[in-house]
Amino acid sequence: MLAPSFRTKLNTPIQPGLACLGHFEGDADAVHDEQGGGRRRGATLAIASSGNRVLLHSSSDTAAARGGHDESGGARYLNLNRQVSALSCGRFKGGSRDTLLVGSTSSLLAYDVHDNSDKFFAEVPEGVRSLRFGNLHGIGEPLIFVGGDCSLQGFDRSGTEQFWTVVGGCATSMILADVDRDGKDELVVGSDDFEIRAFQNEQSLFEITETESVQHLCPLETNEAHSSRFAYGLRNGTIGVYDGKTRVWRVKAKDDVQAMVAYDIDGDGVQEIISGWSNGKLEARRHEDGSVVYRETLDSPITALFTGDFRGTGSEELICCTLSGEVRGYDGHSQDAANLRTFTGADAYNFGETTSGMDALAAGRFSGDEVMRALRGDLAIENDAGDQAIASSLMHQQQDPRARVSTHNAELAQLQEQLTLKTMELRSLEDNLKHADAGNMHESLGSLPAHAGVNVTLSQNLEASCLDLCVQASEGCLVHSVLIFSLDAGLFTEGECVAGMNSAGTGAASGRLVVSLRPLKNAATKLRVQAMVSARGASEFLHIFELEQPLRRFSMFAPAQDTSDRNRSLGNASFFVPNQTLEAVRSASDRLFEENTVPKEHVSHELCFELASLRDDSLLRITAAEEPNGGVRMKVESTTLEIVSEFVQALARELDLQRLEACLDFPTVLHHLEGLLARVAELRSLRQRLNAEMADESNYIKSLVVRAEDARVLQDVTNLTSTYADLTSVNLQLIGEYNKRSNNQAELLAALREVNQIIQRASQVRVGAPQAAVVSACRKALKSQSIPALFHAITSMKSS
Amino acid sequence: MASPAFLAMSRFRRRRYEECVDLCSEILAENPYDKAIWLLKTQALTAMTFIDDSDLEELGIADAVMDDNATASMPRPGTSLNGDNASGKGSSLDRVMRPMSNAGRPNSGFVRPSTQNGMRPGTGETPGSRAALESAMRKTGSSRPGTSRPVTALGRHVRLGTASMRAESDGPFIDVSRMDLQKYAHRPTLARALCEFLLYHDHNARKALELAAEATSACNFEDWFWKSRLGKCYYLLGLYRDAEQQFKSSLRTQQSVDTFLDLGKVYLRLDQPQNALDAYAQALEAFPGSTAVLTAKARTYEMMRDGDQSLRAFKDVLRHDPSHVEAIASLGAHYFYSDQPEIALRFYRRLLEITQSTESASGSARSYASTELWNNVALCCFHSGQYDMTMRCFENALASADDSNMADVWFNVGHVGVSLGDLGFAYQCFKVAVSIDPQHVEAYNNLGVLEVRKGNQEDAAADFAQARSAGSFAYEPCFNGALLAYKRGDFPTSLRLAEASRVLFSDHPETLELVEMLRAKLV
Repeated sequence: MLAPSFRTKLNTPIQPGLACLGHFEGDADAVHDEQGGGRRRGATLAIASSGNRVLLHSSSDTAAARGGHDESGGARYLNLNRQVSALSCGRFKGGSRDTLLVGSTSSLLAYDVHDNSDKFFAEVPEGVRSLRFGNLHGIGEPLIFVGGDCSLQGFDRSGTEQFWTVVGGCATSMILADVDRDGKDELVVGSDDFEIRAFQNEQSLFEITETESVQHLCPLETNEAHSSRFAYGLRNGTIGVYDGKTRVWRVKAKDDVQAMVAYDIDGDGVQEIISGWSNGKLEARRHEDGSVVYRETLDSPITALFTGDFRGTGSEELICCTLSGEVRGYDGHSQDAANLRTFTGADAYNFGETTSGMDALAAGRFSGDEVMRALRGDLAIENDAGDQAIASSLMHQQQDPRARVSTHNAELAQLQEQLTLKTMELRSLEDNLKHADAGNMHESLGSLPAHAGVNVTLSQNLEASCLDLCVQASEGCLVHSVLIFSLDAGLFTEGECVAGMNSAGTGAASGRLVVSLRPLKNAATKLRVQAMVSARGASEFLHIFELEQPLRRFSMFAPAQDTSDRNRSLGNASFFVPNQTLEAVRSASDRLFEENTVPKEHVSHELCFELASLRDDSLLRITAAEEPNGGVRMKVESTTLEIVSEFVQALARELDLQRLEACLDFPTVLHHLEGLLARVAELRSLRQRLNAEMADESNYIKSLVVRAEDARVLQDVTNLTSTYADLTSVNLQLIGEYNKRSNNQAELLAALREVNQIIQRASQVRVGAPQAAVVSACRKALKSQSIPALFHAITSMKSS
Repeated sequence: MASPAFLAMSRFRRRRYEECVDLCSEILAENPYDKAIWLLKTQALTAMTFIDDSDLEELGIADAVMDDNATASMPRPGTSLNGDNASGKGSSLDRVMRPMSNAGRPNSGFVRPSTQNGMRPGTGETPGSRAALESAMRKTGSSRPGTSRPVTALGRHVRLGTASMRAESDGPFIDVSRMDLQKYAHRPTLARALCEFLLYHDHNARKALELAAEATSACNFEDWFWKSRLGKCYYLLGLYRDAEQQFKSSLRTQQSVDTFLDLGKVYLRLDQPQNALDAYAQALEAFPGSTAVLTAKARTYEMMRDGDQSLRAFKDVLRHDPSHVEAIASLGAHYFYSDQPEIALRFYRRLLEITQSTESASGSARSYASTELWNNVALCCFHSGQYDMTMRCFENALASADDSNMADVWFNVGHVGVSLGDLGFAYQCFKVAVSIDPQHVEAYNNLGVLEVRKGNQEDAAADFAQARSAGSFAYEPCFNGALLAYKRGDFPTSLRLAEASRVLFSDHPETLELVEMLRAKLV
């Protein structure tokens, strides 16, 4: 067991993520306290507490409180008058102390606690969902990165915007890490549209699609070989590690991961990934393979984790905050921690051998009978519960021996259960053997014929507008049920896995099973198909076949049937692909779509095909023509900008294009955008008016309160009652105004989000430098409120 | 016969605003669409009620007590305007030497709206609580709430706003609620006049804000004037963050002293004096030697209780403007309290000279603060040994005194009496002082001391108690009460009072000694 190096109880709950540790009171060197002795000053803990306040707590405060001289109990409050949505801190270049950064739903405040002065106060209409302070390569000074709804801003010390770009969803977490190992830090952003994006300056480097909303990211400082690693956590309880674009491992649990940090808890010189969970579990995992180094369960959900020197001891500790207001510290350099290391060292070797370099889940760490149990026990496996049952059993499998010691009893019980299951299995096998002895060799034996196999095909079903995944077992075998996993992309509404059963689980199996799939997004991925196959319908034993079925990116597009009336509302993107032949373009698009959707041959240097989406019947028309002096000129037409941008990005990836400029002609989108911008302007001016009205009314309320109080002291009851009556009515009015304003805020947010999304998609019609150029040109146009400039930035055409 | 329009303009220039307004009304009655005259009348009406709000303003009770704009609830000493009594950079000696105003601040040399009535909640009072409100109301009036002067909730603006309504019998000249502000926004000249009218005459910040917002977008957000006006409207509405943004933006376009001062005011409201000082420093870079900015800087330091810096800034002011009354008075007060009455006397004599000259120039009956000034001169004379002058000066002071300051003068006369050893005379004076102002803390305290000397311990105790209830900021009555209780053998009371005194003035050596002694006896 690891004993906490200190424990403090604050009498305020700590909300998830709303805490940070910083040196707000000047540098960490010696301070002279009353005794005249110099000692290091510990960092101060800042916590967003109730009543729109921030609580500052430092260990020296508690010491003073213990001395009996401090009447305030060591806590200082900062009034902010707005709901705190993110909290962070950082030290600007040349500063001697940290600046507290407080984000709310519409603003960012940088506050110097020591001087009691605002560094700056900036309006952030998109809201502040996440904050990160740090240095991005190419910008001379550290910036405050603010993640909001579809937008990403960077502010410098004076509050001027130095960085802006768009992301697909709400940016929920950000880190600065060198993910491509070029020696420069990139900005890695996790958002709630399941994506992890890496930005170099304002240019998107790569995107990783995850299966759920990305909640946490944390950079890992490792030795040279692993410098591009970072850990992530999803809303569905998955945590894992990426090395650049490739996933190293991941595990999933039932609970929510609330906080993640990298800290060397066992003092071996390598950072572990510490995660805090909603059930109070504190867990440390090795970053190489995800093996558990330490696990403990606290009484209350863990809400924040960070590292720092809280007590002023000079060594960095792990600080763990819980919802109940408890703050604990763990010291990785303690003797306990060293014990942890020697204890786990030997066992971890074995474990590392079996899973290293493999996706722990993908490696099929669950044996067949566990899936069977899951299937039998819970026939409604199509929902998340079943999925999690598997995952949780997986978690148990994942535990290394060290953890088993800590959760000894539970583990033992499970092993016993497994043992009984195995004996039962053995017994029934023996039964079968007896039957076999009695005769009828092949029929009664539960096993499959030697040549048995399963064949998976994917086809488009135009009538039902879906993809049909057809599992065909070989002669004499029956397909009982199928589990289809999408582990990378989050394709299904149901979660990670979809199940199909023959005859709704009645047990009547046939040799063929068809599952309808409706992938939510266009992603090139592999589906992992597990088919439960038996020799006979009523057999007790099912055999599992694991197969992989590749899914092409645009598999939901089928050749268009009738395109005559759809020409009206089409927008298009036209661009020139240099140094490529038409055949290269053709085969590249062929790889993106399902087979037989792209024409095999092209006639007279021209290629043209039309596709319709199975989701909403929207049209995609692609025309490509080879130029006489090399290169291909292409035109992509569709009803929505989204499809065009996705196609261009996919094509650029297939052809490995580093740079692509394009012209965009999307009258419908531009028209919509114009409407949106007008709406935003209208909402803004309305908001201003509402704000003024509310301020006026609250001033009136203040004066009424004073008047009422005056009347009370003078015992002027008539005046008193009439003033209080006024007060009530003004108060009601104020509440009404507030409701109006919050509606206004919600509408404004939605409109801004849409604007940002359009800009992002427009930028994704380009690749490389032009893409970043579009984003920054759009921002400039938005700032100057020039709609023609914005349209020009989006279309790249001289005049529309 | 001059043209009526010309005559109206001439009267406007001669500052005969009421006549100008009357004339304009006549012309407008004939031709209601005469824009020039409309403009003139608007400006005349504005000028009549205009006050220069760039430097000072009064905090209303509501603003002061229900103020939740300050970020830090327990700021580090020396970084805030409303810290507790013991904070600040001044040496502990200052507290012994320099008396407190009833706001619990060191007396300033110059009366300003915020120096006298300390309505900001002190230590131990939660802002917005009923106790804070009551104590604020007690501090505002000299005695009971609601008697001495109307309790204003929101400072000067609302009060004047209501006063300016009275003149117009046949409805208001400009009815903003029926105006199409957007139309005016595109006519810069009219819009400016209208905006000033709304701000200074109607005190309708909400409408002014609407107009300014329209106007600033009409000129593509490039006119510094509109941005600073927007800031002012936000400031009046209490939306300080927005005000800050607007002022800063305005300063980026065009630097102006007024805007800097306004920005400083915003920071003072947010209780961030450091930022205000930064703004003033910037202003001084752009406008070196601007006395307005220098004065604001000096005042800010004074409010932060950084006496040395404040003094330096006031000296700077004098270097640029040798007849700056506030600077002279502040320096005089400083030298007086730092035991250099002769030098202080020179400053006050200078003030007297200025007063005389302005009096003769303007011919006005009442001059600057003559009571206080004579009083100060008298004290300086006394301390520098010019006894013959002392009583003459006090007589002068009393001749022009009214209820608000007469008690102070009598208190000082009594103080002189004590110094001369004429205790009977002093006793009389203090009695007069408390008869004029029943809340006069120092007079009660001194009366108590005199009663002790006379041997009337019961009376003395009552006097100290009265002094304590009249003002919670002074440590003297607490300490004296403690000492008296100690002498009478009432140790628990003594300890309680001594502790109270220590809270108010933690470095007072005698208090600390007494507490030690009592602790040793009791515990």
